[in-house]
Amino acid sequence: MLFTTIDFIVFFVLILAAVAIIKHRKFQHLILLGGSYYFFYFSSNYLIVLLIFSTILDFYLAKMIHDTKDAFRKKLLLTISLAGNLGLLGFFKYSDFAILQFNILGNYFDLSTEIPLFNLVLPLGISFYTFQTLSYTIDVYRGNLTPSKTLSEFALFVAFFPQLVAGPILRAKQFLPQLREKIQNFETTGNIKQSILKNSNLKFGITLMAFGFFKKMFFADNIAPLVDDIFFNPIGAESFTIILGALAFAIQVYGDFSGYTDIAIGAAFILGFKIPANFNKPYFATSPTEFWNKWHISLSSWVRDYLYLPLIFKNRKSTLRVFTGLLISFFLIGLWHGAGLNFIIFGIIQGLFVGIHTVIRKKIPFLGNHFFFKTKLGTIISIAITQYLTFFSFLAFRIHDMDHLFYSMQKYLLLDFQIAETIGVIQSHKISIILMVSFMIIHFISFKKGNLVEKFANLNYFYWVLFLITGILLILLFYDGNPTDFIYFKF
Amino acid sequence: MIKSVNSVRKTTFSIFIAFVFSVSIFLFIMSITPDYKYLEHKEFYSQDLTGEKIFIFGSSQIYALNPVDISSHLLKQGHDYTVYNLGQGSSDAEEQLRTIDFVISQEPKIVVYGIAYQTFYSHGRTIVETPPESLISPPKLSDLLSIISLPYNTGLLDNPKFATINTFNHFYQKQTRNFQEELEHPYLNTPFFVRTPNAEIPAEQKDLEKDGKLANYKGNEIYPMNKNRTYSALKELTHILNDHNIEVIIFTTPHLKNWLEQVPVQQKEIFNSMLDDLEKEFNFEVFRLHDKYDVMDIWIDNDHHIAHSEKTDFYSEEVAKMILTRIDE
Repeated sequence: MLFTTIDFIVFFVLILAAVAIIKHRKFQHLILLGGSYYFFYFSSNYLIVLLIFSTILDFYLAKMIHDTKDAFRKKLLLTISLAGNLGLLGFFKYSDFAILQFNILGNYFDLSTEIPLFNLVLPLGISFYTFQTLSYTIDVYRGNLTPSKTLSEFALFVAFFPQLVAGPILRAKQFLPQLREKIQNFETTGNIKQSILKNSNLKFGITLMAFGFFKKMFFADNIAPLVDDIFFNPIGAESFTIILGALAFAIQVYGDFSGYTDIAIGAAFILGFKIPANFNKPYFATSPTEFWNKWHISLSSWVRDYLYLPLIFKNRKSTLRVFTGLLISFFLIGLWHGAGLNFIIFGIIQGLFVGIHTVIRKKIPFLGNHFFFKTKLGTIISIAITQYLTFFSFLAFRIHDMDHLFYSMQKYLLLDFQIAETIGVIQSHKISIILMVSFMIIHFISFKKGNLVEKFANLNYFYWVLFLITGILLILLFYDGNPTDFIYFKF
Repeated sequence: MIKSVNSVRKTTFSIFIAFVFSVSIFLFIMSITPDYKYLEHKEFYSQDLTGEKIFIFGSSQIYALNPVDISSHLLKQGHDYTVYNLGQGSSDAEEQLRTIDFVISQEPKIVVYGIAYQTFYSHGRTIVETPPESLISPPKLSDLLSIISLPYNTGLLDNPKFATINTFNHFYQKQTRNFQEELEHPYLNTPFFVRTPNAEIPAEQKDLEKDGKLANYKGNEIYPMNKNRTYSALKELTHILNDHNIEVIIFTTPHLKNWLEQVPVQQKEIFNSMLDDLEKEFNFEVFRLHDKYDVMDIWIDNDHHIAHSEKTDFYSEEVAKMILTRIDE
């Protein structure tokens, strides 16, 4: 069920009504769990079995890990959890990719047989909920978390519908206490009539959701045609056309993914749950490292906590170790995005950027602390260089064909200073260009003025209604009759 | 507590008001927005077109079809039809669906549809795969909106973006050229094509070579059948026409050899699977011209050949033959 459909609006209103009417917290959670399973079943049909399998597996394994005193048994149980979750993810997401590479290798060595592909359907949200359940088991193994007491509580953590299919990747430490706190409050106060629906939550949540819908349906979906036209076959394109395409894709992917996240966080907030932010104006980052602290925060922090830090744990001072750890981490971040060489290249490029930046900061500290980088001009230059490099790596994110990708990368870096074709592209995509410029202006205002969502949520009712009317109207006027997939649904 | 409940009510009421106002304003704008492309069609179809009619649909790839020539070919074989070439640049099946009621009201005997690879380009559009029908699901937004009928611009609500963009383009064009000037048509009965003198001059061979700019394939994504919106629209269109006893003939428009060689294999497979699927579903032959004239000296660019020329009269003749074949069946 896509957020941008009437199906979701109806579903959400029904869930909200049920939660508001049924005051008992435990029943509310059961409704949310049932609703979340319906939400998933609506889009994925029988593949819901995988979600339930993953939930049951980790619930009981984590319990056993917590209960056992034997270190070897703990390790064994954790290994089973890792194998079970990563096995499912690997089988459904990467088996065809692996077979394809094997067949290519076989052709290279003139092997006459080819292994047939499985052609499996990629289960929706598998990359997200697998990482979520894994973090839970690992946290219990490390002794950082007390396992969930009831299966239904844990199941709601895994399947909570606002963030189920495209994150943010929740940590049990962030979510389970919210469930428990409410139940405990209810039991101690006994205030059956207390409603979960708070006005401040409702107004802020709706504002955030409106921002999300606007980013996705007004900006991302209407910039997509320009991106598609440039990158379907970029061979022969001028440097400026490629740069324009990269910039357009950067806006599209940000609008699409952060739009989804805003809707998810907003919906959760209305229901009384706090989901951590996933973006923090990443296009104003002044270095590759800062970019990853602002972009897809739940994934980068997951990789940092469960992969990168354990990798460099024994030797944090070794530059080589840190660099290698970063490269491996970003290689896996790339692979997490999709089973394709282009995603691996995306990960490696980002790994190199962050790795080189980290090494420079470590080895030449005076450069990082130089007063120039603290001036306005220095900051602008840092932002420009960081984003130029980031958009360069986005080429690998967007272009799947290797010939097309290498051509585009070459044109992006070695400028040909031709402009004729680019003008033609701009003329035939006037609306997309206008939207790109508008997006950049709004993004800049948001950067300068702070949290725009909060500002709009705090408007008095008259202006708040005007804001909603404007947003809904623009979305409707640019709606093309069919909802479009979110980019991150493919991951 | 009471204050909080009141605030929730106030916020809920504000959301309701915002929805009502924005949808009302939207409907008002839709009802007064002059969607010039749509109105052009409305004006044409509101004429009293007498006699037996054949309509030809497609985009710029059917520009070179001369409907008068086709009529005379048919007449020679004893079939008196007035043929109209209703193609329009960049038109696709989704756009065509908007005017389907006008088409049906004219009761043509046959509709001929020229399709090409470009017909199925996504330009950012996909269909989200729907879950099994056994699931109970709320109605689609588009279904809800299509219930609402406006004084004119019927069909616009299925895709408001068309209207917004058409209006935007109209005002842009108005700024850049004299809109009042009389537009000349390439042949008789081609109401939506404007004469373009460039279409009469064949390109030089060097321009059509593989590394030349013209021959450099600038395509777009073609999604497989289950995710392709224009393919879905084409099938819907054919079903609706068939339901009104209007015969549908589908053919693929010609392309240049160099261009065809550059079409990615995957796209060719998808395109061919669509043609096979159409034949299977509607039990007719899809006439395939896409690689029939690929080496002739008739091209102005990759996928358009010259018009107004004896050199390309065969194109109209070929379409006349298709119609005769179907009439004989």
